Amino acid sequence: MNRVMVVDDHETNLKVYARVITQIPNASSNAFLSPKGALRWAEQNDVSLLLVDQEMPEMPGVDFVRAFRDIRGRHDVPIIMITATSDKELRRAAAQSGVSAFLTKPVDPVEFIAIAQNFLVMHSLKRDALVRAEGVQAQLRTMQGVLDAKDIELIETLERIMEARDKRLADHCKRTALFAEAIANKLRLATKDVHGIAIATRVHDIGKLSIPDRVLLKPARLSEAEWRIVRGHTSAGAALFADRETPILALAAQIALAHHERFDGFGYPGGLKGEAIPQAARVVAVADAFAALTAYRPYRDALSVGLALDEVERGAGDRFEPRVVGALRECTAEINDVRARYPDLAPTA
Amino acid sequence: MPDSAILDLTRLRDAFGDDDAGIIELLELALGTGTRHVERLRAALRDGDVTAVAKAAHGIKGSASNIGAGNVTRISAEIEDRARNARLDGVPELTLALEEAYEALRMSVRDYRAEAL
Repeated sequence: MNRVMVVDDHETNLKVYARVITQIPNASSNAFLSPKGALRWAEQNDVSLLLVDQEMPEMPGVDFVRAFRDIRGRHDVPIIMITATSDKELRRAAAQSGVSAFLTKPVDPVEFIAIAQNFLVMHSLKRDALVRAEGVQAQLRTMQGVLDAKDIELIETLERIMEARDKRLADHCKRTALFAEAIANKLRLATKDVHGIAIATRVHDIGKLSIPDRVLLKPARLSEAEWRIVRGHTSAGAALFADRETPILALAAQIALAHHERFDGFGYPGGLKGEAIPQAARVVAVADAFAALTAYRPYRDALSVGLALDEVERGAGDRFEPRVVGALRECTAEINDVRARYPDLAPTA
Repeated sequence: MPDSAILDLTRLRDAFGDDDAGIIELLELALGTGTRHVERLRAALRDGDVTAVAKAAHGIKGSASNIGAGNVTRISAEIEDRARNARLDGVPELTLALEEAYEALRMSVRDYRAEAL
């Protein structure tokens, strides 16, 4: 049933209009002498068409139309304004405030019915199209969810591969991902970006699988030649996700490639500087360094949280984006939680 | 059938069909509110308030035209027109004419009622 709202301060007019509306199939009328009462009603009830008098002492029709348009869900309701004058300026103002059509008193019932019917059809088609569009969008979201789930499965498989080769590497990736997620949250990134970072960072060092055991598992400081091999893990990791276009895998490629870029432009592999480094990579750079510092290395002990934070802090502005370092500082609770869940492996004998 | 200059039922017939009782109920309602509007017009005239005169006349014109009360519509339109131009000359006379037009309308409605019901 289409609800036609009629607002006119003259009762005789209301009665005539309401009577005419009874001739419109599938329509009922709700008549109001008081514009303010009508607005209150329209806040609670859906309206398919509004018929309003232009000149009402309580509130001019143009003001009524503006107030009506401001009500949630009423911005697209067709509005017919009834005028007793053909004042061009008034009509112009009314049209600007959102009036769809004008009728002049005396209202010709036949003309009114024809116009009202057209507007009602138009309005219902518009509403149907909107509902359909929302349905399509919901479907797309569902499909995106399915695609994301597939990507997450792939990431999990890659984690298992890392774990099989080097448990320490797999743990480092997990911790880094959780730190990065905490930082991204503190930076108030969009939920989907936080989510993406939390997942994609879990394989940020996957390229290290391409490093030979003698270098990857070497229980001592590396030579310059060996460091060169290690630095290749960024491009090697990104290459695994080359040409992948789903949001998570594309982000995984971006993070794998750029998480060793430095804010001052002296990082690798691209030497990118500042904002040229993808935001996710700037976040992961800090999380990665912090995770590494707080973990045991064959050539040094694990640093305490406090010392590691100080060390990262020293890199703010040159190695790291200061804002990101500041966010890490705020993550004390999350840091402790992660360290409890994924304790650092004891040094192997 | 009433004199069409006083009461033209064409539009109301479009709205009400052959529901004479509905039309008569509406016309009687219009006569009642019409009396109140004329009082408002008289008060505005006494105060010399041209804006209020124009508004009152405008309201009368709108409802009268919708019910097909031709003479009432024409006279109230003339009053509104003058008041909008800040002129009140001749308006007292026009207001009298308006009251007479309403009286004629009242007779017309009474005859219609006697005929139809």
